[in-house]
Formats: sequence, C-alpha cells, structure tokens
Amino acid sequence: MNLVDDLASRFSTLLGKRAVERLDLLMGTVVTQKVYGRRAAAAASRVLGELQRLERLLSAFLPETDVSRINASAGLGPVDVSPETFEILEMALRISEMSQGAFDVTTGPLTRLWSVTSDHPQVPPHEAITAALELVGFRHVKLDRERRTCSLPMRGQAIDLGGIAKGYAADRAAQVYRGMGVRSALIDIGGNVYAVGARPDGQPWVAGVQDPKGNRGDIVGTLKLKDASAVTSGGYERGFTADGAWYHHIIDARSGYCSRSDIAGVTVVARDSMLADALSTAVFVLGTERGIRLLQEFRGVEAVVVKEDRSILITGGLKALFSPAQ
Amino acid sequence: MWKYIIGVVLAAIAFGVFWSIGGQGEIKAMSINDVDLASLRDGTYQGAFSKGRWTYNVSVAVKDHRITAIKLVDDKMKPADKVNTEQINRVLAKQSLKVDTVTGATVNSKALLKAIENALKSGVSG
Repeated sequence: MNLVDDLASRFSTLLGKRAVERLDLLMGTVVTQKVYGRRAAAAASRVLGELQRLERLLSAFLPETDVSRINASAGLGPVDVSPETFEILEMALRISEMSQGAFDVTTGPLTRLWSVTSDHPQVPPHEAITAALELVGFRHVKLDRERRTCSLPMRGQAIDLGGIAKGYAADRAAQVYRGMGVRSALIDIGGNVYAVGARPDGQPWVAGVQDPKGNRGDIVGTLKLKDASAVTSGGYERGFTADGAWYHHIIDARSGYCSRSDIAGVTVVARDSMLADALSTAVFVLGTERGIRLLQEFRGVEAVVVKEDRSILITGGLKALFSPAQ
Repeated sequence: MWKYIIGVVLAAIAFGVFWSIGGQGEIKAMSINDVDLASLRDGTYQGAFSKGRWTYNVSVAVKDHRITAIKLVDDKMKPADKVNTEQINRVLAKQSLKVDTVTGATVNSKALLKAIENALKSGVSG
C-alpha cells in the first residue's frame, strides 16, 4: 500500500467512516469485530483484552480458571469464585430451573462418555449412561451467595459454561464499546453475534441465520439487528453417525442421550446475549412447543425456529426483521 | 463484510475436518492467540500445526490487512478434499448477499486455527 492510500485510509478511519476490522483466534473459536468511530481501534483492542481475561476466568480447559478449580474440587468442598463467575452460574441455574433441566451446565460426565467432539466418538452402553446421570443435574450445584462460593458434592462432577460464557463475553464486549463511545459495532464470537447500534448509515446490521440442513455458510434467511444479540443452537454443528443414526453434541441432561426434539436449529434474539445463549440451548432441547412457551416468560426475547421438517417458525416480534433467503 | 467472508471461509474449511480433530487433551487445552490483522504485510503465508496424527498445513493470503484466501495445503487426515474447495467457492460467491455475519456458524477446529495463527504470525511486521 503506498503512502497516500495509507494516509487516506487512516484519515477515513479517524473520521469514523471506515470500519476497524479484526479477526482474532481465542476462546477456542474465531472472533471477528467490525467497529466504527473515532476510538474504534482502541475499543477493538480493549474488547480483545476483555475476552482474554474472561477466557482465563471461565474456560474448562485451561488450568486455574474458576471453572477448572470448581471441577478439581468436586466432592472436596466449596471454591471461592469471582463475582462474574458467580453471576453467570446464578443465571445458568435460573435458566436450568425455568427449563426444567433442558439447559444444564453439569453435563460434563456425559460429554466425556459420548466424546462427541473427539476422534473416537461412541454410543456408550446404557448402564454407563445411567451411572453418569447420577453425577449430572443442575440441582447438585451449590452456590453460597454470602461467601461467594460454588461447590459440587460428588467426585467426577464437572461444570462446563460452554453454553453461556460466549454470551456473557458478547455482553461484556458490547459494554466496552458503549463505554468508549462507540455507536456502531458488530462482534461475532464463533457464531454468537452482538450488534451494537446500527451500521453507520443508520441501517440495521444484517446477520445470516445458518441453515441447519445446509452446508456451513448456507442461510435460511437474514435478521436485522440493532442493539441486539443473536445466538444459534443446532444439532448440525458437531456430531457423528453410528448405525445410520446421527448423534450430535447437545446432550439432554435428563436422558443422557443427545436431544431429539422437533427442532433442527434455533436462533434466539435478545438484548442480553448471555440470556440468548442459554435460552437457545434450552429451546433446542425442549422442542418448539415447550421452547416457545419458555421464551414467552421473558420480555423482548424472540426466536427463529427451523424445524426438522424444514418449516420455519418466527415469533411475533421478529416477523418484520426476518427475511427468508431466496 | 470482509470479516464475514473470512469467518465463513474459516467455518467452511473447518467443516470438513471437524470429526478428525479435537478431543485430544493437549489440543483442547492449547490456547489460540490473537493475530492483529492491522500489523500484517501483504503476502502469502504458510503455517503448520502438528500434534500426534493431527497435521495441518495452510496457506493464507493477505492483502491490505485482509485475509483474502485460506487454503489447506496438505491435510493428512482428509487429503485433497473436494468438498472443502466447493464450500470455499460457494462462500466466496455469497459476497453478494450483503450479510455482515452468520449466526450459528461456529469454528471449533483448534488445530486448524493454530495452523492459521502460525501462518499469520509469520506475516506480522516488526
């Protein structure tokens, strides 16, 4: 790039007309940011720092995170956690309660048994699933608000915040942008999307909704987003085939098997990305009828449901914002 | 728009190799570090990641601080995967869709990400 082009592009970024775009690899996925405004570059780096901090707090894979410490102390006693971890766990348990266990952060022992994401996934013997189910269930998780501790009563129990942490991270990112005066930004944390404000031309951001029956990048339609988050759960993301049946990665904590509802993929839209993240899993597991009923208990939470028969159901508040693909 | 394309290209590449990776403790525990596109010079960069039988070699093209192409040069788990190529082409064709991003298209392939990171690192100036 020659000097004139370089200066011109820096100048337009400074004026907020050109986006600062970043692609970073963290939280085990690809994070993309598109940020407009005078302080766009600084905001994007600050968001990155924030996500790195959250990964060091919430990852179940890195050692010494709050989550790893809780799991290592399963059966041994309570563990002090940060206020943020506590807040996320409280929200997780609330959604677990409201969804009657369709969303559950304690499926670790089952996930290990199925090892869906490993190189040797397998359908475990029924007895092994029954045994693992003894260790699973959100009601086992004990939170002590006063001491701000979390404990798991039995050895071998494990928490995984994979179904809620990216949502929390997206919410934090949006707070950072707004705190720095950014009025227009889009962050995508591995398919978990948050749109801050609208695009600089005043038009809403447009997010494609992944077609659960198509190839990656194929979309069933687009959603207009403005100060909102969209989070998708689907049984197409990861899985394996055994004896002609498809087994995906979303394990129903109540049965021990991967969930078999009438939903192929569901996208939940809300202002609160953590809520949208947890609810998308809950609705996917519950199925259309009970899932939609759960969503109705929340204000301003909407969804696009793609059913197994490929029919699409859009809740009232999204009808004007969803455009089906041609 | 570009980030959408890059994200989807990554997702498309990852799609074909999902099953063959992950699970291994070491790969799972591995952290993927950030690469600042603003500090990348134009060029085509090679990156590799190898652990046990997981081997990825990628070629990443960068122009004007944007990733313009990612190719799996040699994937021992799934050699010469036609499906990947078709998906990349399909994604590139979708540039006309005017979508900022795609919700529900996740990328989980850490070994592949590491290879891409290693490629981009070699292009960081300074």
